[in-house]
Amino acid sequence: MKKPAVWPWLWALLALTFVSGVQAADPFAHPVTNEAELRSLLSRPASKLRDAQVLAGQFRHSRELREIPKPLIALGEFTFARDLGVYWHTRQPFDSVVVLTGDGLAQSDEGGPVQRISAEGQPAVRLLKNIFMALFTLDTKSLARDFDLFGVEDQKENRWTLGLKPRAKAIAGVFREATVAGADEVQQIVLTDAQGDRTVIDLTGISYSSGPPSADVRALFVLPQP
Amino acid sequence: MTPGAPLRLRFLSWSLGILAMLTVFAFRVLPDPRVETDILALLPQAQIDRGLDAALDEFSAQLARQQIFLVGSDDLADAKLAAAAFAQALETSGAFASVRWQIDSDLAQRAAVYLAHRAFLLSPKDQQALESGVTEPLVKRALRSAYTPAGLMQPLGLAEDPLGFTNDFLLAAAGVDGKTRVEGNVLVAERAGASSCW
Repeated sequence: MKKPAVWPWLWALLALTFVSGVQAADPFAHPVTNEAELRSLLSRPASKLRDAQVLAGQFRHSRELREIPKPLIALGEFTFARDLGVYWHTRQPFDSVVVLTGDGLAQSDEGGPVQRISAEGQPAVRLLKNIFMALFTLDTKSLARDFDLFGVEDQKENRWTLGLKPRAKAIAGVFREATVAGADEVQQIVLTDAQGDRTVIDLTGISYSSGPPSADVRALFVLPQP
Repeated sequence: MTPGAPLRLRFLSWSLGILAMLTVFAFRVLPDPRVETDILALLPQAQIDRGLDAALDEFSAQLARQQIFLVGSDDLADAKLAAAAFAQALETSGAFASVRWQIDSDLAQRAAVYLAHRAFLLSPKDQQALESGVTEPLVKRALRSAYTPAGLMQPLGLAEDPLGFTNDFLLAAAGVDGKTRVEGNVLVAERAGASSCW
């Protein structure tokens, strides 16, 4: 008597496992319909972020472009000060500082002359600053206002992933969709633009400060005149 | 030689001359008859950039047909509602081919009129840098776009504009003085306690 073939069953089982795994990992399959759900999903990082006025740490910024086989990787340090803005200091592959505040954007390479774009002259600057602050500090009110939200929690890995799709076309010009993932704190942000290119930002060694920004931190956000 | 011979010769010469003129008129002028009003046409041919002229003509024609209205109120929410109602009234009036009060398309669509002629477009700053041969800042700008979040602020992606010339042109062209900001899908300006939507 011929033995029943087991391979088709094994393949079917493997495919089922793979498909269910992908669905579980894809946050965009799980819409977050209200703010309470969002707060529950982000409860662990929120407890750290609630009182934090200043966040500082290291980043790994990776641009994955369709036309280039290898990602473009940059390493450096960041500081977010809630009422001041974003300080982004790239150390590798070259030294570059980008400061985003409500007043504008200042950038300088290798200690060279500072180039400044005022938020009044370029409304996109303020928009980008607001998006960055909302993403990195998980400002639930601002996120719920500007994005369609999705989320999934991986109980086994003890991690959560938040998916965001911009409602406004103005924000969709910056990115088509984003995911923010982490455990007790935000660990990774992935921005996918309209062309499908991805920017992956990994954050490590984050320190939180609940007091007002120190003089040193304030000094980072003083936009020098060009 | 008969006495009428020089006269006949002169008549024949004039006839031939007129025939030659008529031939030139028939083959060169009649196929494309136009009154030349373009003062640039008086310049030597090498000084005229027909592509640039065509781009400028198309761009001016598009902008000349647009009208911009500001709808304001003491309260931003009221201003937005009023702007939406006003836009709807304009739309139903049928007086305009299209009415837009929200940013309802991505930047590539909005900038299409520029992108079709991108080979002719440089911001004054970039033009000056290229003319003077000081290109180091341009290289640094390209690297910064690729490796830092500043690249996210560029209207066009890195693949579309790796050196950032078109992006810089678009940013320079879009530069406005004042308190304009993007809020949701609407351009908002605030002045003397009143909010206005474009």
